[in-house]
Amino acid sequence: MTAVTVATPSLAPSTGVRRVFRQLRRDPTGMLGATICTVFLVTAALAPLLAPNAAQGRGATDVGARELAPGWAHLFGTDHLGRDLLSRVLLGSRPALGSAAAVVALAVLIGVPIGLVAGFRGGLLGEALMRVTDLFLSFPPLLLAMVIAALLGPTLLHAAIALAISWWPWYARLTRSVTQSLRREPFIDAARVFGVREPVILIRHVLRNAATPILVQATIDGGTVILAIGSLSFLGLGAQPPTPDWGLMVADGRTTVLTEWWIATFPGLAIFVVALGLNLLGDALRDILDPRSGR
Amino acid sequence: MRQRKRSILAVALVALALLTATAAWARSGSRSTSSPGLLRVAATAAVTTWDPIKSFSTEVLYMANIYEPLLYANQPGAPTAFSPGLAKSWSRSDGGRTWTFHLRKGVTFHDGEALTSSAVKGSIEAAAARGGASFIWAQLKSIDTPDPLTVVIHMKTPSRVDLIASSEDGAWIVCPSAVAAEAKDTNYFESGKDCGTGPYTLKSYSAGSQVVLQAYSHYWRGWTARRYQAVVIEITPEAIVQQQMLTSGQVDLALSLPAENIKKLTAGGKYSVLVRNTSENYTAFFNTTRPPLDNVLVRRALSYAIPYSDIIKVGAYGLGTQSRGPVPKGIFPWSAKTPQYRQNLAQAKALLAQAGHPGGGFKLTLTYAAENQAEGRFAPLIKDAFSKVGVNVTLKPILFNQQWALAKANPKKAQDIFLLLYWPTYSDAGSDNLYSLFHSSAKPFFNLSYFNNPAYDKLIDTGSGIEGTSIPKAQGAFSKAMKILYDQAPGAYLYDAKLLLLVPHSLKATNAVNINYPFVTFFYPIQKAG
Amino acid sequence: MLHWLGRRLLTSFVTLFGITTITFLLARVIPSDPAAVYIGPLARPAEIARVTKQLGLDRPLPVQYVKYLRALLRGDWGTSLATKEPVLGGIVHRLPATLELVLLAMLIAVVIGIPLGVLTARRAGRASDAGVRVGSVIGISMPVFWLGLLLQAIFSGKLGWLPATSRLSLETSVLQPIPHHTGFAVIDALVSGDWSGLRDAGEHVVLPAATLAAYPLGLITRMTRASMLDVLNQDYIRTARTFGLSERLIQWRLALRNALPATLTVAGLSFAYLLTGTFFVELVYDWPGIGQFGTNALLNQDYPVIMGITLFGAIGFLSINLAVDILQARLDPRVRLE
Repeated sequence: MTAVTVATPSLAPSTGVRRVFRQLRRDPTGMLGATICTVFLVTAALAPLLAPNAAQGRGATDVGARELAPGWAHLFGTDHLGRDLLSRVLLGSRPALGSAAAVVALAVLIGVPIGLVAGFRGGLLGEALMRVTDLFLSFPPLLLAMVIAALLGPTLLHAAIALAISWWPWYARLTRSVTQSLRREPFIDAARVFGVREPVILIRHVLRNAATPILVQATIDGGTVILAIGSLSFLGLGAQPPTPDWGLMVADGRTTVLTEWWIATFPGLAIFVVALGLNLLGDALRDILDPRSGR
Repeated sequence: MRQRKRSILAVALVALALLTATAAWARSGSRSTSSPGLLRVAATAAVTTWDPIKSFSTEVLYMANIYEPLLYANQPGAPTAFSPGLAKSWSRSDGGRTWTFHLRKGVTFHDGEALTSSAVKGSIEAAAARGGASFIWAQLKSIDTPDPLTVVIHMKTPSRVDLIASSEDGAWIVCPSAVAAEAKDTNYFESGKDCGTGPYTLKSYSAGSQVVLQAYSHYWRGWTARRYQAVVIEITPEAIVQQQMLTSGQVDLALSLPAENIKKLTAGGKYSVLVRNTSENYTAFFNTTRPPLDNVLVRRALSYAIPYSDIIKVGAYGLGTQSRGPVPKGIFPWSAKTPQYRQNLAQAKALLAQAGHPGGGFKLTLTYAAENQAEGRFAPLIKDAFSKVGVNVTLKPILFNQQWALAKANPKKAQDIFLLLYWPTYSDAGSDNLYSLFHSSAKPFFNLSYFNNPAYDKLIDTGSGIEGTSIPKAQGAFSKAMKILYDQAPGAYLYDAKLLLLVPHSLKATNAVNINYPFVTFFYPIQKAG
Repeated sequence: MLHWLGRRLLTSFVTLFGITTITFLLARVIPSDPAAVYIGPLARPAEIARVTKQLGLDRPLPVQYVKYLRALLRGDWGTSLATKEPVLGGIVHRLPATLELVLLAMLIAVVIGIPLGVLTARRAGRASDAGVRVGSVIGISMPVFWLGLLLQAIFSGKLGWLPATSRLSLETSVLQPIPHHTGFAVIDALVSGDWSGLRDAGEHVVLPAATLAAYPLGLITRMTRASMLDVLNQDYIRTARTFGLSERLIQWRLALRNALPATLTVAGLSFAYLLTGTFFVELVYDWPGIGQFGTNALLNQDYPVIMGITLFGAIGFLSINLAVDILQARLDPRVRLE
């Protein structure tokens, strides 16, 4: 619904992965982002092995060790229930990664087909689909997610669903603009003349071209989604105890932020670092893959 | 180039100067000095209505300072059970069916009307007809007013009218003109009107954020220089914000502080501590309609598995005592003879094996109120303890209204364990707790174990029936009933909650709290120290 | 232009209708008892039944919906179940407090962000530029609630420089209230010459506004820098240089003017972010605005307020988008309003 001309994404065939890596290596902030993201993924994969006390990370309590300051036994200290905070933070990478991936995946799964159909078919169906898209875009971003999560009942799953419902319009729009510009390309007509059926055309050519901007968008979104999930959990509308969700841990530590500062600080730091990494990486990717539209 | 560098330097210097100035300005003392006649309080008490007849919620904090009942229930251990309120004496006759109250002379309502027996009659009849807690007057037959200072209350069955009339819900005496106006216009009070006899009037209300109470100069107990002429209450739902307001000197009293910080706050020696025993307690209901909890041996086993002292230590930060049944200590019919379980994992395992579940091996869903901090702290302890006997618990925090709606909807499909914070409406946990929490009913309301035991029901009905006639006999019936609750273990009785009121040395706050008046702090008894 | 505006308003109306429907369905289809929210914690069955009838909650859903819509059009947005105040009145009452924060945050973001973006665009590739680039990404990656807690803990808790919570001290709000003119405490105090009130209001607004400003600051700095870079590489800039126009003129008048539209879009987007950002900032700082109203309603399942705030937020969001689009059309002749 905005009047700005949407920059059409690059139509060059997908750049080789090698070339991307080479260009990425030359960008220091991009490398920083990539490093953070890799560490995040590895942590999420190996969390139970890396954590000093995986059971506590998942929620087991230790009443005798409550609110200990950071030290050799507990690098990040312990929380109000005696759980090792380092383990909690490390294991928290799992719900963070899982929910963020779920949100983005859901948003892509809903948005991309809608955008494809709207872009390719056009006409009344396309218009109607775009109206629905605009409807969801008109909700102030996090507000719809908060309302859905509050009303469905606060769980991480509901929060993820709620966020995906707020997010898919972006992917629909993106896909639609790619599809629309591709429709005009002569090679689509040529393919049709040769008898290639429409769905095949859609899938092969359009998706291949849309993959890049979608990937870039998804990476950038990743950072925002991590923040959003943390925010919902902080309010009490997302993950519930004993899930080691970072936002939930910050809320937990809020009352003692002056005296037992570590309980709120380290989980919040985790959210910040991961979001930072995703944003830096997303920016760098956009610079490499889409030099015209990004910075 | 140099030009650009110079201008950047200039901007930086200006910014630095501004920052320093601001910091200096801010540090030169802020405005947190108190005003002599104003008591500043932070409370979570939200106002759902200003109507004393309908009031049945957290606004009771304000109601109890604006309105008065006929008499007040005293703390356990006091020489008498009740102290005079608007009635200076009372008597019981006709086996407990008739109660006569003699009113105090010379009391006036905030609008100048005199307190008369017809005013009392109007208030009670209004409460019985349309009050939020109208059920407490369910047995009301009629009220006579033989003279302006005598009220005779007739009940259908022998009743403890002294206890009922001391209630904080449904027993406020309201001036006749307001009662009449409210009968015609149900929103009469909502614009912020009041018409009580109490020490304070409602001066202003800012929805959801602030209540200002002003002293009523003709209050019958009188005023001294030490008492506060005005009270401002900041409505703050967040305990941590209340703490910040207290420590920064913004308020004199914070009524709800985060439990985890109380020890640190008191350690500094800046406050004296007033212990409030409350009539609130926590119960874990077992769903008796569904396997495996339909087996009494399993329920007993789980009752042995619960870590009672850890729950109090961690969930309540020490502010609690283990419950004996669902009746809170200090409230009738609590009895020291009611047995209680102690954590004994060996016994738990043995009972599970006996029940046909050796080593546990089943899953349970436990729901608790997501907004309840204490439950959030001790629910994981229950989960951990149960896992030690092989029972796998899934914790499900849900906002209370939803938790409750789900539990009432379909017992067969509901949760296995329901954590509930409860308190009696007035200080009779026989007709309240024992009845509401475990008496069978066609549709579950607070009986969230869906307990259906005819012997228990009979004892409760007997006890409630005979309470107006003979308290000892009622106690006997209730004690037997509580023994059934121990044997059958439809729930686990966790702890009775305690609260601490941190009182700064500039105040004296004895008599400001009373176990019989949950959620109420009386502001009139609070005086300046020294 | 008018034709476009008319069409746009019409679609906005339809959108708002859609939003109301969705929110209404969500609110009424979930397991929760509004009557119980209305009465309070220990409601009895008889009371709940009475209130259910009184609130019309026993009527079929479509009937309730139509009733709600009719009331909306009359200006009656319902009554809060928890505080019993009219929803629209409650929102309007709390609006100035939130606007004060939001406007101040935007002011900070724009006043610092745009010049910063312009200055670093010139220094593209240098160390200071990289620093600002990372700095702005830090701004948009910071969880606002965490930042709020940290600022509160450091500047109020540890250093004691600023108050931790609230909008005004109790002394001011009860004993020496600031005379009401605009509803903005700082402006009202300034206008009335209430210096101690000005100081009180100023002290209280600094931390929340700074917390809220972090994200838009990062966003605006980044976008200004990026579009400046874009513009500075254009041919007409080079032409202007060869004609001998001073660098300062080129940067601040020519280039910035053309870089502004993109920044404007971002500013509009950050306004939307700020709408939900206030939920967290007002929670942490106990700021009595719409955000706090909304958070309490969400946690209490006070559905009339939830619906009212969603509708209000959507109206605000749509209006901002509309304003941004109109402004852009004015500033950038390349943009066509479709």
